[in-house]
Amino acid sequence: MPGAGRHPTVPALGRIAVACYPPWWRARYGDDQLGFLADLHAEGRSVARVLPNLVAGAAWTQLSGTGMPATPSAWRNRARTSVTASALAAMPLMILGLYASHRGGDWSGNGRLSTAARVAADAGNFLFPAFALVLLMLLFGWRILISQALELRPGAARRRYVAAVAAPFIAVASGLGLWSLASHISPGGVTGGSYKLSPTTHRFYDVTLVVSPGDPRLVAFLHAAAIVCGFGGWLVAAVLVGRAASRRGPATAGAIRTGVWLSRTATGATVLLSLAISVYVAALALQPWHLVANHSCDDLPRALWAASSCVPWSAPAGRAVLTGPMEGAAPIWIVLTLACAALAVVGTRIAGRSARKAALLDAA
Amino acid sequence: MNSTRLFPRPNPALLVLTSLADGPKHGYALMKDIEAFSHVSMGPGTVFGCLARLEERGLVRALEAEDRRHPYELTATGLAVLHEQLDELGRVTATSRARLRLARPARPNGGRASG
Repeated sequence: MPGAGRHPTVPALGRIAVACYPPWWRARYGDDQLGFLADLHAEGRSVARVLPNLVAGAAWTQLSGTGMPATPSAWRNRARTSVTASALAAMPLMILGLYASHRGGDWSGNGRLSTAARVAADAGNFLFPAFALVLLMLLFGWRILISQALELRPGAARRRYVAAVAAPFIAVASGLGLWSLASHISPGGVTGGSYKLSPTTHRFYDVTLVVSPGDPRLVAFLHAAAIVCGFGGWLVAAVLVGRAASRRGPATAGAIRTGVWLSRTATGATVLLSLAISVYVAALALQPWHLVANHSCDDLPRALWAASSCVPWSAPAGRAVLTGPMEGAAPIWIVLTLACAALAVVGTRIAGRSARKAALLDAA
Repeated sequence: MNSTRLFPRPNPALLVLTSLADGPKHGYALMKDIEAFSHVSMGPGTVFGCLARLEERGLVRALEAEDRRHPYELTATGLAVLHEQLDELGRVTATSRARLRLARPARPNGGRASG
């Protein structure tokens, strides 16, 4: 840290607070701030009292980029970092969303639905259009980057660029395909009974389990592979697309306009998606669930592998009763979901703004 | 009534520009000066955040470091912006005072107001 060793009288907490600022800030104002704290300390005033102000300033500087050098490379670095941060935050968010929906978001016991179940059902219905919107954004983003590749001269650089841009898309598409395949041969399916679904209300009665001959271990493997491909694709996309984008030449006015529209829509989509997942997970966590299933399967535990952690459960001949709170009921999961959602939204917004600024500086 | 909630205290940028109007100062001297003339206490996060924004807009500039601290001074643009802001505040203040003088005789406490 610039000047860190030259202000020996600054208390350690003060140094830590200054270290919370971004590197470009510390290079420019680090010595000044440490000098400020040294003067404060020398006059016998409390450094601890100004620490919250320093930390809040550091957080604001990290978010706003105040004082960052106005160069395309600096803004591009910032965009890449933010894309990576938001992708990393979005991953547990989506895993939590999928986990919660997998754990029985569509299943409820006999009788009336609680308010939490209705909220979860509404949020769950909202998730699918939101997911679709995000996928659409990804497709548009890749289309723009691919079209940029066509402007490069044929050769190794162009091949690397196309591979870097296409690889994450192929990974995500493979992940979706594997997930679809796994769902198709999944041994545990719920059909029959009286099952009604409307846009805002789910109503469930006793359900009948239909067991298909698929091997649950294969299904589990396919699901795991789908998650690795799908979410790994997001991560690879975050890193490689950013690298590829920084290698291409100055952006055209049309690409900047489309990029601005894309980044704003992507921010909106991320906000909606994060909100939906947060509400969904929170509502499910509050919803104790109870499933009564009539079945004709000798190997019910394996058939119900997806619900194997529900306690207590019993399986008398022809009838299984599963009841208990959602696993996600612990407040830590709700807090984690909200934190991930906030980070994903903030990261996406910063990434969009930084990319726009870098493109404008590039064009200038 | 706590009027600071209704009327937030002066803008930090205006305080910093005002403090620099009588010559260059480094961060700590700025903070002490602002405390002395406005009774507003600004922490280092606020002071340097404000200086960074003003520097970005070309209203202040850093001078050569003295004893590891950069003093900051107003630029010509900063001086012009400060004048503009003070003129605006002055117009509001003058109008407010003039209207108060006119309004005093009409106070419903028996007309004890003077001047």
